[in-house]
Amino acid sequence: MRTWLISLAGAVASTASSAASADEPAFQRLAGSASAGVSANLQALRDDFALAPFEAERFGAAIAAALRDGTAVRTVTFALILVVVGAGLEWLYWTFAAAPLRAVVNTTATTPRQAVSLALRRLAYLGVGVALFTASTVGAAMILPWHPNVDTMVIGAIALVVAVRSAWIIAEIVVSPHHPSLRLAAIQQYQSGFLVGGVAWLTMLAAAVALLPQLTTTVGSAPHLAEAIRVAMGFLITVSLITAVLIASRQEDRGGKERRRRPRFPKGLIASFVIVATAILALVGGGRIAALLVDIAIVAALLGASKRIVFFFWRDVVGRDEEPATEKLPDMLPLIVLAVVRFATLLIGIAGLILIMRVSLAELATGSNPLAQFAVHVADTVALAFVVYLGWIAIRFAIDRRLRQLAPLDPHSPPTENTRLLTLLPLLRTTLAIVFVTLFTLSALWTLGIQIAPLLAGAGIFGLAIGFGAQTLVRDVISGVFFLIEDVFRIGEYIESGASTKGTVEHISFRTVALRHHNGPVTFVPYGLLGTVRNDSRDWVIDKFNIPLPLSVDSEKIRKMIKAIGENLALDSELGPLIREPLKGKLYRVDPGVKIFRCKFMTAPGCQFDLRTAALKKIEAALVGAGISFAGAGPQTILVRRAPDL
Amino acid sequence: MLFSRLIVRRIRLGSGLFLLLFVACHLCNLALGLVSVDAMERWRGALLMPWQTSFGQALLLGAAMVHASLGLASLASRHSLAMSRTDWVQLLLGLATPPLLLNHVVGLQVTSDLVARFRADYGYVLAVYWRYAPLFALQQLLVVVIVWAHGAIGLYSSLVLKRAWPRLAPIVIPILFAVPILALLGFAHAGEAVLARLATDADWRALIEQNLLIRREIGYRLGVIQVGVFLVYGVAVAAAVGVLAAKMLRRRSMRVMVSYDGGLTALGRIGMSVLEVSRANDIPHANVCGGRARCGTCRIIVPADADLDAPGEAELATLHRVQAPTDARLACQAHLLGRAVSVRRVYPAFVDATAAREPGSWLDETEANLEAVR
Repeated sequence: MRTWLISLAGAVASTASSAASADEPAFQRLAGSASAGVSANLQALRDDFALAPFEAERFGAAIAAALRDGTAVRTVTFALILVVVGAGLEWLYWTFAAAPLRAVVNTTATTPRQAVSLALRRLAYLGVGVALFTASTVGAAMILPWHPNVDTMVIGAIALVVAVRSAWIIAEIVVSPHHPSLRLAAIQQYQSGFLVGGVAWLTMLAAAVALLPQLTTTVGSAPHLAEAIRVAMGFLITVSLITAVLIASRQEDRGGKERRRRPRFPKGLIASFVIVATAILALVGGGRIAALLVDIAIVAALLGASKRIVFFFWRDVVGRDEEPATEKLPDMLPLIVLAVVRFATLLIGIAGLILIMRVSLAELATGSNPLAQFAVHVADTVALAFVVYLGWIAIRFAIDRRLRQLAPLDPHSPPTENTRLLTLLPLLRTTLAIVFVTLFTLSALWTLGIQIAPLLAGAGIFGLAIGFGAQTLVRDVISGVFFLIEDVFRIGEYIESGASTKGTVEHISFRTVALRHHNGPVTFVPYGLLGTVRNDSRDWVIDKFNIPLPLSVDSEKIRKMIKAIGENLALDSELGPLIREPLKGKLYRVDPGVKIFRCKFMTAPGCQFDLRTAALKKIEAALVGAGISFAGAGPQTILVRRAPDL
Repeated sequence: MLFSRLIVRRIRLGSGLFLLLFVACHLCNLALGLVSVDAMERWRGALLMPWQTSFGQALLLGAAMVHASLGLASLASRHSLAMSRTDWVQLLLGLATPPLLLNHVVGLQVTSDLVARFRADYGYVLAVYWRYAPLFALQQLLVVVIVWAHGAIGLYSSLVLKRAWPRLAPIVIPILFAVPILALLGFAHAGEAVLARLATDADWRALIEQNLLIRREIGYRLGVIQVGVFLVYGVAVAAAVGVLAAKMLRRRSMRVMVSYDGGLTALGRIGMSVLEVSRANDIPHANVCGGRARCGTCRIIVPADADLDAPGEAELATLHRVQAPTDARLACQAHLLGRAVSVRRVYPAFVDATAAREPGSWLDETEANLEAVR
């Protein structure tokens, strides 16, 4: 995820620079108009502050006139009626809704997801209150006979109140200063109360700035005064924002000593810098560039914090602030939500950019605006990344879940029916990852308008050289693919190839197979060198061994004895199940002074050694019981009785 | 204390209701402005005159002073500022009322008491407010809403605990809404009419300006009266706040631990009630009446040797009414004396006024919960 973000950023940077170099005249034009705009803006600013006092005076006179002719008294009377209606109805609502709301906020959430559902219920209760207030005040305002022009001002005032209250409610629910278990973000207790107040205060300032022109045009025309107040309030907002950012990014110092203190990215400082830059840009350069900066900064900040924000809701499942541990598989849901959040953030950010640049739909469709076109391309790439990532997560989790259902693979235990799956699935996972990354990279480059045909075709002699070097590699990989398709070996099987290459298959990669020799060493054999493979672990084995006995023994008796031992072994609780065909023996050869009996049995691969040992042990015991000894292989003493009278 | 808490509470409520009745009459009269200024004037005899007799004035003044001083006394007798939102609203609205209302009372009633030929009829008042002193009009409009909200909240808080409330609500609540809205509308409607008459009827305008002249002549005396009242009121408020602040400052280090059921603990100060401790520490604690010993929902079970002050008459009456067991106390009346106490809450934090109206209704369930916890 992070890697593709970085690659994306790289692509953006490179394409932006290429676009810049390609459209040199356009950029010069832009720069020229910007510098002209700056001086014009500064001039306008000076005018605003120079003319503001006169306009303030005129504004005061207009208010005094409104007081004299009854407009003001009437307006205030009606406004108070709105207050009585709105606040009264909401109060009535709360006399019923306060108890259920108390029940919600006094519940202690056990998991962060439960906190979310409680927060939604809380939002419902509080939201209905605000909605009731809004509906009743707006409804009453529409009925009342206001003086002309006043009604828009009143609706504006209601909008301000509703905006501040809504922001306050949302901040209250997210930060939840009085009920830490219901908190929806990683916020320290000491920051919480401040943050709620700060959000309400900033919303009020922002709404006031937005509504100011309306007020001044309604009461008296004072555009310069409005602009001057707006600049002053902008300054206030900047200061408040910086204060808020610095407090919010402050680390808890108390108790931080015993924890190792890592140097941190100076987020607060960077954010303050961006805020100041935005304010200055807005002041001298017009709002659009400032808005672009704000858009980009917010998207960057959200992307940076997205993992922390999303994983906060699964902090009991996923380790806090940690990468999802590779051993312990995280849930699929947090990762998908994270992807969705990042995708949505980027898309909204890009949509914001397009809106701010005021690109018309026609321009967007014909692609006549290069910057907008680029933004659309980036959006395409982001969408592609999102789809690829979702696909990757789905496949990875399907494979991982299947692997988890099968037992963990131990190469040195007897093989089960799942061995082939356990051999192939991890390989498949890696293959798919490579395929996905490659496809995405190529598609992204293509979407961004970079020619990929030359890349694919390779670059002439260089490609040829690499091709020669890669010959063996390709042979290994292709052979490996066929070995695996033909199921020549699986992890845990004992294979032999050639004279010295033998061992248990421990690990399979793209190019090599790791064989553990029974004496310990591991041999890594490239598939290309594997050649003929003898798999000693398939289906069954037949084991044969000889027993030399003296010539005097009765062959039939011995055959029956060995057969009885074989039947006996088949009944053994441990060894019995392993035997496919029981032990049998028969006279095989008669040599001078020795009868060779050959025994054989069929068993599962790898079990022949244990079984042979057990069989020999029993045969020996039976022979001893019958008073028969093994025939020696060395020179035998043959007693020749001489006939006395010959 | 001279009177028991129970009697003081009743006097405060009674004086408040008396004042609310007067305000209601006054606002009804104002609402008649929707008909005409003449109608207002005609009905003034019935709605306002009885209050403007010297007996009525004395009663009103007495009630206002009693209500205000009892309110300030109750502020001074608090031990912390841990109040419910409703209580804060009530406190601030109540404190704001006298200074805002003063110039209306002095400018009209006191002037007509002092000068016999001063004619404070509705035509004059409306003309003053709409034309000659619009800023005063804004102030009076504000005070209409403030006083009415204060009275309505007080009335609701006391009525909601009564068994009859479900039957009363459909009558009382519409009245609580209708009176101020109609009064404000009447004020606006009559104001327009008065402005129109001022523009056309020169004789009438002369009459009003003559009245204004009288008002201006005794302006100095009225100013002295106003400043005097302001001073007294300011001193009283400052004294109440000062007593409260001194108490809080003096006891800021006298910490007492309160432990609750469910393993919760909280720190309070000596003199604070258990309910105040709960509220100051965000401990969920039911309190329908806001800590006035009326509802019985903040009830706690305490050990016999708990270091709390003895229950007063009001508390005992409420405990008796809700048929509480002998080891029960009202958290709003049980003040910490110094040693740590351990309490068990009886009601869940989210009970509503039904728990106060029908004491048994929530209890079975709650007791079952408590049993389950034990």
